[in-house]
Amino acid sequence: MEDNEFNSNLKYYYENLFPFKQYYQWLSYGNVNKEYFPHREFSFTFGNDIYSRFQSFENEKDFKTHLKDYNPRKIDIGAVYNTKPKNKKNLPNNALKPKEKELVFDIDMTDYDDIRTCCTGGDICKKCWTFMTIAIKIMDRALRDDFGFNHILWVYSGRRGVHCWVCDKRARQLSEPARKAIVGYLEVVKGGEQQAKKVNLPNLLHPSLRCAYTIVQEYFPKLILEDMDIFSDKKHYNKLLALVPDEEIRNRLYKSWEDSLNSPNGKWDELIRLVQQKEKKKKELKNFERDTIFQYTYPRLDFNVSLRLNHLLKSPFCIHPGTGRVCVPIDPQNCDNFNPFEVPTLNELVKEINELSQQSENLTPKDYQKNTSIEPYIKQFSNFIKSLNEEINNELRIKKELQERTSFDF
Amino acid sequence: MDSLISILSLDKYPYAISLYRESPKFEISFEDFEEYAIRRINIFNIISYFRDQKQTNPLYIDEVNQCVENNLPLTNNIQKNVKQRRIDHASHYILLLLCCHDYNMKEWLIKNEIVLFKLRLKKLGAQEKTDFIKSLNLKLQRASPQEYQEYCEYYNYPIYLYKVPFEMVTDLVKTRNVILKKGYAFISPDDIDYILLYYFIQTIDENLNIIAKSTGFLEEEFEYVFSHLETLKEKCQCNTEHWRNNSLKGQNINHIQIEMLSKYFPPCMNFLFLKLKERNHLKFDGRMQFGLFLKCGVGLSLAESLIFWEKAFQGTVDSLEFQKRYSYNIRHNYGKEGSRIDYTSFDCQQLQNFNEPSSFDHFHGCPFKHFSKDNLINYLNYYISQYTNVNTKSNHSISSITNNNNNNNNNNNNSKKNNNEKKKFQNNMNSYTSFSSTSSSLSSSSTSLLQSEPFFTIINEVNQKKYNHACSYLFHYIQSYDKYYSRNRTMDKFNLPSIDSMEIINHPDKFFLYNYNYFVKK
Repeated sequence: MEDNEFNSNLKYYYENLFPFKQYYQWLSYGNVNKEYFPHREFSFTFGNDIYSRFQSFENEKDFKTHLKDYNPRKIDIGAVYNTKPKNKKNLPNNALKPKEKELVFDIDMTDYDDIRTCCTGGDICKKCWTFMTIAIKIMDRALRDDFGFNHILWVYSGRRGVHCWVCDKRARQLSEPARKAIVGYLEVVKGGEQQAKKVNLPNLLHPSLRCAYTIVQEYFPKLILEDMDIFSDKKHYNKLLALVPDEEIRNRLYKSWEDSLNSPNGKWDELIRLVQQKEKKKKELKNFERDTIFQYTYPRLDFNVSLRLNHLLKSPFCIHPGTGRVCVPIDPQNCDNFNPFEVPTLNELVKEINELSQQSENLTPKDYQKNTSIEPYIKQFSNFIKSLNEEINNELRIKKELQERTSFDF
Repeated sequence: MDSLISILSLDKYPYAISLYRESPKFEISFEDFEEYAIRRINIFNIISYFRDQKQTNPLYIDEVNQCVENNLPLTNNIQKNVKQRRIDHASHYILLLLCCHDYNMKEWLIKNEIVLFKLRLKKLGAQEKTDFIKSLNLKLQRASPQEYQEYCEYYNYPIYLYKVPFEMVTDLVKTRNVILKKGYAFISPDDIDYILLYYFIQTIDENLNIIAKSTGFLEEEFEYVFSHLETLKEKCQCNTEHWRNNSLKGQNINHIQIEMLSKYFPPCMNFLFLKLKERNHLKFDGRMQFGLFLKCGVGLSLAESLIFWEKAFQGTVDSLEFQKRYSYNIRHNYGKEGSRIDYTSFDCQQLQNFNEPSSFDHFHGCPFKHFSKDNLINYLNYYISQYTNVNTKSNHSISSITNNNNNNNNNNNNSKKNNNEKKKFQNNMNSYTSFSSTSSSLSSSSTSLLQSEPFFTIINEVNQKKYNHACSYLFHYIQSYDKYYSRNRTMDKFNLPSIDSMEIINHPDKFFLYNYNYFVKK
């Protein structure tokens, strides 16, 4: 994408489509704490990878003006600090401390490269996107049912992954040890390159993982056996056999699968049957099926992103410079139907803006937002903020009532 | 008179344990101020020693218990206990004052206060513990009958279940040892200690904050006290890195020497270096771990470090991209960017427990913990062969390649030779790594290696999760081997190191410095 063209298209986008009103409503959280938005760190990335941290803004207007002026290729959102980040230079070292931040997760398709057979690196396709669908379902359920969080924003990262923003007040106030504990609770696939078997779970499966297992079992046959087609190539099914803690079974299947005409499902059943036969004699074989299915499908998290308060994460409604796609919200209730290849691109949107402006004059950003392909996504964002605000207003009301009541206690 | 005071004040210190919620409301002499602090510092020093140096759990060590009895006992003897408990109370607050401004000292304090608290909890009788918990007035919620029905099986049918916000029991949440429902964790009464610990730490954090804010105006009035705090601080052995006195900082190590020195790196760093050479790249955590080791353990300067990494990344990253994306982080590690913190390298405990490898392209962490047994044995076999120059049971001669690299100091002109050697090295590396990613159970060659030392003892320690013991055994083994087999033999009989009496190494920098000083400086 030509840099100049990209930049001028980006300008159009920020002028006419970026949902400033909702964005500000989100990050100011009802303006209950008037310092919350002004103390938020943003960082902007420009062409030539020039990177500018510790930006902060007074209000929606200030943010809008700067965004339009700077026209950044990328926007990152950081923590809410103890003072305005933009004053950092005038402060002594270590005076600027992060206070609160949403609980965030970053799920990146490249972390699945050892089990993906269709694509590698930055590429994705409809087949491997299912890994993301599984991740969203499992994590969304756990965050809501187990941890009690309600305001969870899932966002397409623009190319090969998804981000999760947990925006409840309780989440924003979590300490770093608590965030570490949440990641530890959710994490199942562990181990670097030198660890073949990355899933080691006890016999009695935790109820949270039981729910997760129900979800992955549903997707495993089609995603792994069929779409990833792990039996099609020796390279792939050798990795599977490497997980079997029994040399005899491995050798047997290694021979059997070399020229077997069995279907993938048939081969998988063959493996499971052999394991189950020997299970009673060899306790390492217990839970093999379950742990292997988990290793192939359970979400893989990037630890570093979730742990630190001062970590920066790409903002929703950014444009991905590589693909041109907008980082749009994903509805977790409907994530099976999310297709990353149908997400509007910058060029498409600019085209739509141009067409609209040819038809009518004096169109406002609101008009453009309502009549281009970005509309459903902004609507989703608005719904998310609506429920967030409902809770904030409820809390305010309760607080007020309590204050009125206690003021009578004199 | 004393016993009268005791009886009158008994209600102030009813239990042989406290959360120290309230500050002491009595006066003490200046001499007592110092003495009480030193008593608590003594206990913390011995706890640190057994936890960090000896890598054992201080809760179960006799010397630690003895030290507590000698310094801050909290007996139930009516004559003595109020006086003792006042001393304990005062000493806690004196240390809060001592540590409230310094981040490292705060960490040191909290770590050790937790151990002392756990020790005292252990000593409490059942009735006293119940009374103590009641006195705290925690108002813990209990599970409803339906909730109990649903979850009691997982907890082995306790009498009842508590229902607390999950933030209170993060240790249990992290290991998935609790059931969570809508943000609440269900806790068996047997696990009440976790909740007590939460309140204990909360209280310390709050008090540290309050005291830190108030010292300002106190300093003037109590100047003579504050000037003595520095001497007290020195008695706290929270910085036990005297071995760094032998560091190589003065020797101006250059980037070319890293290859030659890599043999003396501990396995974790040796492995990262191998992977860096093989792939001409490392991900963030690997760069942090290895980069900080080069800085602090090897003493590589910023200038040499920048050249080292740029050269190492040649092939995957061009010069321009290196400047843009990687050089900032390297300068940041040396305290030249951003918040200008001069970062220190990670110790073994951090490498084992913090930021563990979680992806197939992660090579950081601790091999003794993060490698499968098979891979660990194979890797250690290669590692040892660097010293023994004999490949005991492996299929490839990596040692000859690394020996060649050792002699290959300045052959930048002779690029063809370099390329061939690099190819040869890479071929062998590929066979090493392809060999390494296989099964989750021991291959037959590993099984046979396991019968011999040092593998037998090392795996034994690994099975007990004593990773530092395992690594230290390797360290001592290599040097014993040299003492017996080298030309300047200093050992009559090849004695294997003794696992119980050998020094435990708990820092990669230390491993390297000791190893280097043994092999190179002699």
